[in-house]
Amino acid sequence: MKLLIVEDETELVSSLLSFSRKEKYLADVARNYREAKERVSLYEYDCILLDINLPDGSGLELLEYLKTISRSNGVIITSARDSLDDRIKGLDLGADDYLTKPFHFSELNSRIQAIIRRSKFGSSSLLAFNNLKIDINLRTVMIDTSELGLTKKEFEILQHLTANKNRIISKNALAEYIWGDHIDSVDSFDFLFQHLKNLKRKLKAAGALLEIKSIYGVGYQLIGS
Amino acid sequence: MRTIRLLNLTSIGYLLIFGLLTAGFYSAFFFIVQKAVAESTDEALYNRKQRILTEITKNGDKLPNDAFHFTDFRLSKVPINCRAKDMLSDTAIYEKGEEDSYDFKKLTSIVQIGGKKYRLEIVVPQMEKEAIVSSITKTISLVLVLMVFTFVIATLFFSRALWRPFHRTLSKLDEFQVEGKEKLEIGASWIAEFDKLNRSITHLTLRARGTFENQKQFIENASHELQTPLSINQYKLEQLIDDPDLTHTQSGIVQSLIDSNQRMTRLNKILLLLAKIENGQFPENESVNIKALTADIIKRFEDIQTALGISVDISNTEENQLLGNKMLIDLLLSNLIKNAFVHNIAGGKIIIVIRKNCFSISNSSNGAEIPSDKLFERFYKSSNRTESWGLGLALALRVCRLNGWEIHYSYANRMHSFQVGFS
Repeated sequence: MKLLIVEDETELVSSLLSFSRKEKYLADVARNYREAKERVSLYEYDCILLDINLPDGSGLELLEYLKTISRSNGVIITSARDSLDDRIKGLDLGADDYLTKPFHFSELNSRIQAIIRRSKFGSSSLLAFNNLKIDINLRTVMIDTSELGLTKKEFEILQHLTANKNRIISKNALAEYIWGDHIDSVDSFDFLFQHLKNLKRKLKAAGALLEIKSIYGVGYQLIGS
Repeated sequence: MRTIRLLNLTSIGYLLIFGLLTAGFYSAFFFIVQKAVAESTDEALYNRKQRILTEITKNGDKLPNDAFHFTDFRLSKVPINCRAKDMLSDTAIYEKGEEDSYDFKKLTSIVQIGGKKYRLEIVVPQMEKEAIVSSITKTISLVLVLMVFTFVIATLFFSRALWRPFHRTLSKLDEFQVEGKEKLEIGASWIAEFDKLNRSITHLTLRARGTFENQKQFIENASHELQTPLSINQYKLEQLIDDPDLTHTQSGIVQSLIDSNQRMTRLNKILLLLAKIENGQFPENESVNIKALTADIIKRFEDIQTALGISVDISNTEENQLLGNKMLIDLLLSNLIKNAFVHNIAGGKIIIVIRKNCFSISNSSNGAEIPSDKLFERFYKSSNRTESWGLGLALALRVCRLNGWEIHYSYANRMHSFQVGFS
């Protein structure tokens, strides 16, 4: 799994590199348009994290370049500008996804995994962990061979936790994944707690070989048991 | 404040001056005419005296014997030593068979004819004061009426023509919006004052818009610049909570930092959104089904709805296809709906009415009426909820203004209501 991080901000690069190490992705870094162009013409990447605002050009130009050399890399645009124009242009030029900074690493991870899934032959929509299987397209959850009935929100939480298994996901990241900006965090933490309580109960009753751990009130972690 | 039209005020002023002038002119005219009439009467009397005396001398000092032959003078003998100056006096004479008397002027003089002295009394009819007054009044009134009429017509005509550029400027100015894009085109005027006014106004609006643009740009730039440090904070903090060596106390601190960083991030996003709305960066319009959108938005709040046991009534709806930017309409409605949920009470209710040209939402609440002039201001908070910034309604207002819609707040029976009028 090879990743190219196109980003000019040193501190962001170092955080993204540490994230990649943790997720066992091989990551290269390009700090400007020129470097990025050089890298993509020399190597194949499974996924490119592309910042739009580069010191010597626009990330959109790189997308055009990728098109001309017909490289079919998965591209996630990361931009500080939450601009609809850029989003539309970027997706038109062949980007797969668009993330507005700042994003949560768990969110980024989910998107990267989605791209990898899609690029795989037969574009599998399955997420698996121990005896848990999630079919993202069909929106079904199986423990061994029996289906687990979940509400919409419980499904989303479990899917996000599974995509980021063994990672601690902050409550904020999880709440934002479920509700976006629609409700204030203080309210959403209580709702999140309720949904997780039900989810834990259902998983345990179904005999899932995994556990959702609460980490000191900062977040949650899905681990195998 | 009560106002009066400049035209009316100047007209009243002019008419007052007209009146005073006419009164002065009237009295002056009266005295001059009266004096002239009196002088000519006196002159006529003296001329008559001269002619009578000449006639008598021509006749060899023979007195006219027929007393009734001449009705305008009378001669009567006086003692030889009598002397007196000529004397003028007013007298009234009654004509036979008539009630009214006539005013006459009488000249009394002592004359010497053939060594004898006589008193010669001559009378001429005098023009009556009333007659003078009435003819002067008639003349002056006619002049006055003609003058006022001409004046009014002329003023109406001139003012309409002269003030036209001014009214044009005013109506252009009414249409002008600082946050808009259209330039104020009032052009030049051939009237110096209006031309100066137009130039001052153009200058002023350009400066106002410049300041406004700068401010908007400043907010947008500042928000953009803040994104990177906020991102760095968030990434580092997320890295930190993944550290297995973190103690309980430390993760508590990290969690508070994550919370406050997220608050900053959200605030920044909203400020950016406000700036973008004001910059008109949402130009794409499409047909939006308000009923479907409303149902969709309510679903986002189902957790809070279940938790508080709030009943939502959207039965009173008509189909409403609205042309606008979907993101902005979503923003407007979701802010109103969010408020209705967040500021509600346990077991409360929300009533939504959708009509062809309006959307209204009411919610039960513990709170009192909110002063509506402050409600839509940025950073106005009616409650002490620390997690709210009071930007939701400011956003809603911006969206309405951008589309030329109206938004109103009202309060009745412990229900807060917001109405949006689409026009």
